[in-house]
Amino acid sequence: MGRRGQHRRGLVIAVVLVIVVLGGNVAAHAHDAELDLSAAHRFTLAADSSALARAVRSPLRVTAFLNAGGPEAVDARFLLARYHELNRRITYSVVDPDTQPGEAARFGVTQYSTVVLQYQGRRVDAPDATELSTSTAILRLLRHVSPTVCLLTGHGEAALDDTSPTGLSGVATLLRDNDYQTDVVNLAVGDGQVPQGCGVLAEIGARGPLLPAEVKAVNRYTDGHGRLLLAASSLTSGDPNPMILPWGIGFLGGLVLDPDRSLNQDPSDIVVQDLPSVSPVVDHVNELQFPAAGGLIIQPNLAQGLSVARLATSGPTSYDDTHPDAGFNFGPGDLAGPIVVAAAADRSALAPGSPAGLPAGAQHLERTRVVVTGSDIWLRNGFLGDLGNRRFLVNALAWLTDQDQLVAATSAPPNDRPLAFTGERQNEVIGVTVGAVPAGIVAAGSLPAIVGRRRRRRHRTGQR
Amino acid sequence: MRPLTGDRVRAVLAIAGRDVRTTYLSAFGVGCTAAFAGLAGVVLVVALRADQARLDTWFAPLYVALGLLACLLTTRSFAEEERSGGLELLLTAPVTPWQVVLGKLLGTALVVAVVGLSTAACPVLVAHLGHPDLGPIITGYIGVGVMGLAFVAVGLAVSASTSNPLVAAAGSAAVLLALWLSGVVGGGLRGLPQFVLEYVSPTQHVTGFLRGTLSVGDLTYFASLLVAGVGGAVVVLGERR
Amino acid sequence: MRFEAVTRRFGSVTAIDAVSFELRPGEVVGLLGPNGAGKTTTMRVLSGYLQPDAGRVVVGDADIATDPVAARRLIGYLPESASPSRELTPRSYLAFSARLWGLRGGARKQAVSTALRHAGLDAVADQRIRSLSKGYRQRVGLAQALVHDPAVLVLDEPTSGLDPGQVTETRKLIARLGRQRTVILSSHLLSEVSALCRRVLIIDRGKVVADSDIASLTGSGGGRRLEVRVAADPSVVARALEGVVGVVSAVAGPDRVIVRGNGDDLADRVAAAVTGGDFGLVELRVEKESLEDAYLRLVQR
Repeated sequence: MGRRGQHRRGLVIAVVLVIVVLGGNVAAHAHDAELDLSAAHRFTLAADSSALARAVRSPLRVTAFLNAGGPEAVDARFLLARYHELNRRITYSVVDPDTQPGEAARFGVTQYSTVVLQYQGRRVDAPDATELSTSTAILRLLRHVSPTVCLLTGHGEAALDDTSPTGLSGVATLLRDNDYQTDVVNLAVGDGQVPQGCGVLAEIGARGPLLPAEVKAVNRYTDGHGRLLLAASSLTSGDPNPMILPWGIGFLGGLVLDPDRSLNQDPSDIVVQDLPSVSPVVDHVNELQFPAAGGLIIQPNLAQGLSVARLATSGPTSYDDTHPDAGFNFGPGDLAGPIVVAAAADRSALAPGSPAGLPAGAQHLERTRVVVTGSDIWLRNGFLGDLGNRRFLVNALAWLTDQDQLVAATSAPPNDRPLAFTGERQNEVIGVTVGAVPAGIVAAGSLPAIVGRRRRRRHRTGQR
Repeated sequence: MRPLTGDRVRAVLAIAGRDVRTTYLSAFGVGCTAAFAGLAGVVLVVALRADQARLDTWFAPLYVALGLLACLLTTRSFAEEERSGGLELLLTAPVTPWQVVLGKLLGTALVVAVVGLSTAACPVLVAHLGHPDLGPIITGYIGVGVMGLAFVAVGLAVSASTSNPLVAAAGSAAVLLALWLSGVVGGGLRGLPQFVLEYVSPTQHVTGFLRGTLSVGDLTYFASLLVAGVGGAVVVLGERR
Repeated sequence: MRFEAVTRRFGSVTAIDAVSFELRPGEVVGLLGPNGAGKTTTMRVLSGYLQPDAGRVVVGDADIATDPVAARRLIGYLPESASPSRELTPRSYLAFSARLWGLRGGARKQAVSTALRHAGLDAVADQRIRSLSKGYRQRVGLAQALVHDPAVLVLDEPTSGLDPGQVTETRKLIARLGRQRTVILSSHLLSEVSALCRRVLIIDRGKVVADSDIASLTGSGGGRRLEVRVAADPSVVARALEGVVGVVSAVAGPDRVIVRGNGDDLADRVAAAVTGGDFGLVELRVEKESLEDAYLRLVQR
């Protein structure tokens, strides 16, 4: 074959190469199969998650605020890459709030493990970068449903636009960031009804009593499968019990004191570390700061269909001081701890009739949910950012609005594989990997030269 | 008489064996292997400072080092051999350009395998000190093998096109860097250009190996680089003669 | 081996242009030419390393383009600047070469031993090639060309870069090999070609300008070298002789003029010119043209 033949052959090879490479990659992309060897197949998305990812039709940006040096950030990149692989419109980045505080401030993020999802001008914050949280957040964005949180007013409650340490502007921001609408409702005026569109009715820190008509309106609302968030105040002159007793929760009042678990040498500024429930409300919540909390009690005999979860209890050496004005001492009438300071009630029942689209004769689930906390201070601007308070609020709202588990995806176990890298271990690793192994390689590589030299010396000696 | 299949394979193995021997009989080969092993150790120390028994943050920088290693090793495959006159001897032997390229690919790949094995002390140590997830370690090393082969093939194609070892090394590095950067450029675009540029970048296909998954798409990508590199080297060798 | 109208270009430069020649069995042929004439290109096309743009090369019955493997089996090639794997020993390098040539087991060992012996490498067979002198390294190159016992040896500048002692040894080796094989060797050294070869090919600017046995080239080729001693100023005489028919060159020495030219009657014409010009002819000696003279004559045309 002359040069011309060589050229022709080269061209043919090049064309065949291009076809094979292109064709192979197109086919592989179209029929991509995968083997997940990771523990518990943690990086294989569930069918629901995959379907959600593919359903995204506009750019969806995920910004995960995580400690860049930690395993969570690495796992977040891996997991979010899966979403991106399924749908290129889903883009992601991992930002360390410590190294990029400006970026964190722009998003209003003040702590690690906040994942911000933005889609079509809306925003939802996820509590972490797990598959469940991410997919749930995507579903919320795709649903275009923004539940309304209606805050009661008229009883000395703090205002949503109050930016002082005792205000609720932090709550307002958190609600907005989690795609909730807000409304302020005064049941003492107008028709005295809770508006139809209220996804959650929130009573936060009433200082004065509700009128009987207001209490009736609230009860009508909750009886009608409403959702209530009540943050009681130990400083209240009112009595929240008419609104919460029907749901198995009673407000003791008093002041919960926990000398062993408190901050600032103030036994009433308690740190709640016992979160005995498996309720989604306390998911990813390790601790709460509940200043000036009154105690709650759970009714022993609950109505059928009603369940109450003790969300948070004070420590074993705590007590509910029913006469705190007389000094912080355990005395007669006081209740020894642990004291329940947060509880959640759920009443679910099947009812006849069906929403449109289901076959006739079907039944549907009717549900009332109530979350009660013995403190309202934890929601104020001065305390909302402390410990797990924000997460607790977000979880509570998600649970109340049935958005806690929208996706049938199992939460992957955290890839926490601790290895305390002590100085001794570091020396061991360095000694082996930087010292012994390279030295061994050099020694092995020098062997042929040494052997050859000895052989030649022997040969020369033999010749002599 | 055309050589039998067995003879053809023997010729490929002979070329590969010679290349491996000359690499490891020289200070270059031993030095590269020892240096890579030491580098792996240093990277491991940094990775373990996160106090986690996991190696994904160890493999990621090693993949970059692997690309550089492939560039260094492949300068000797064609460029330096041509400069020393050895290529002329090889191509006048009764072997086809395919056999020469495959022999050199195999030889260099074996060297990369030895270098990869030299890092084995790292996961063994981590397993001894903690409880790492073995899946990502297995896929991480599969990534080393697959990527190593692909990068070597790219380096061979560049090395075959020049008789200057420096140009060969720089050219290989430039090609790999361009591939790597295409992902960065693609990230700022939308639609088909974004898809194509991101797909072409190795970073797109490395994540799977790091997290413990093996996908047909990722393996096909690196196989494509391998095929393109080998085919390119054969075509270039033919064109230059 | 037949080289039939072979042309090879590099870009716009034609390195060899319709070159044709034949090597007959048992011949030792020298390929001569100035720098850039196309010698190495010719050797590379002969060996199969380069493909021709036109023409063909046939070795035995095999066309090197259509059946390169069969053709290459008949050729042992030593390139000009071959530097075999320097980290290996001659023995292991030859074993590798033998493997490439398809030799296995005992046959390979035998072939390696034979090649080592023929090339005089037994004493250094197990020393690394990089520790050997240039002369020995050249011998290793020769040995690899011999290991598969080819019928034809193609040697490109086999003594290039060697010291005089090494040159002598290599020439003796080539002479020995030439008794059993067909050899074509290229060289700048006319003395080497005239010592080793019976036939010479002279190539200039990509074309063959001479293809003949040396005796014919220097004897009956009509080339003559005249030494003319004159009483007059040799430079004046040289200028006058340049115009004489048949004179190719006239170079003035201190007391004589060296004339090169063609034609059996060249001496008569030169003598007539010297005496006719009254330059005082002292002595006129006629020598048969040496290979150098013939070479210079042919490439200066």
